[in-house]
Amino acid sequence: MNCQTTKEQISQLLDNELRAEELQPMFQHLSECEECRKFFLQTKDIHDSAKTLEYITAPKVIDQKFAVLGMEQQQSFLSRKFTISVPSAIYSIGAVIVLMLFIYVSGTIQEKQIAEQYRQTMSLTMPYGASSYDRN
Amino acid sequence: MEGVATFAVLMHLNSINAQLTESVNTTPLSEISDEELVLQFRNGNLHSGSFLYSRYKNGIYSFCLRMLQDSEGAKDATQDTFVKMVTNIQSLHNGRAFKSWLFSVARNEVLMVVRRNKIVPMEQFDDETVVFDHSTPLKITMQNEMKEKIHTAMLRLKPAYREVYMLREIEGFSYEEIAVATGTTISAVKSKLFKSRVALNEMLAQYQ
Repeated sequence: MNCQTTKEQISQLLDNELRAEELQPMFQHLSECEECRKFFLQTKDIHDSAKTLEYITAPKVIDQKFAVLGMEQQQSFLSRKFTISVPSAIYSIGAVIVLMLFIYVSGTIQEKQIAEQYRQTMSLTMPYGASSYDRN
Repeated sequence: MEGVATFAVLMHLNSINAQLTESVNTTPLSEISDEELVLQFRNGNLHSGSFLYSRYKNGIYSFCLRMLQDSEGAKDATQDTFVKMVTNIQSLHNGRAFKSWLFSVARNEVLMVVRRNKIVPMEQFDDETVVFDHSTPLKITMQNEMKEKIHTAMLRLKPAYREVYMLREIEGFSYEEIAVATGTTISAVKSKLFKSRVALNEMLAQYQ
């Protein structure tokens, strides 16, 4: 294994991206090569320090811009909901009217049928009709 | 009719509040995953969008500032990144990839600022022949502090290397996530990281 390959592997090792089978040959080379050992220690130092670099706080003006953006989104959401709900409401009201008409019509028909059935039953049980029974 | 519409809106807002309260009550804010927040945001929960913004605003601003080294340009790029986040969130189908998606948006916004304001010559973003600028003097802003030296040295890396190095060391991205964010391949990421480290070693050798 040469120094170039070892140094590349050191970079991957620090990122936890080195394959397990590559570890042994790399450490073997490190034990034999002073230059690569130096590279390893120096790169690891920089890597450890770089990880501690903090975020730079974003200025407040960005928050304000985002707040305005949020309000615009809410506005567009509200207007979107409004345009969607108008046709939906028309369809819903139409459906309710049709349903009520259907219930009314079918109820009327059923009422007539019951009345007819009642009349037929009465005529069978009272062959002389209800009026002659009432007279007695 | 307006009453019906208002009622529909109120019902929707109530359901959003209920969802939000439920998730906040059961899980601390910091533990709600990006995936969950993206899902809620896609369903119209604007509070989730605010959480995502709060979570990433400093990271995105730092990335933009360190790439551009210009605070006005960094502000513009950060603002435009979050405008794109809000307007294009529906195009993000995999919430788990949110972070790399957001940084790829930020990277594009940085490039837009570069084009618009001509802050850094554009070819430097694609220039892979020179890892850092030898002509710029290394300025140590805070004496005898390794971190400051690294920060200053990192800013001397060419943008194509700096972005990869920052995403790895500061954001903790995997090689695959960096490849997605920068629109390149994993082997190119490996190579750029290695060259960045060699260059930083060279720049900081005198302080070690």
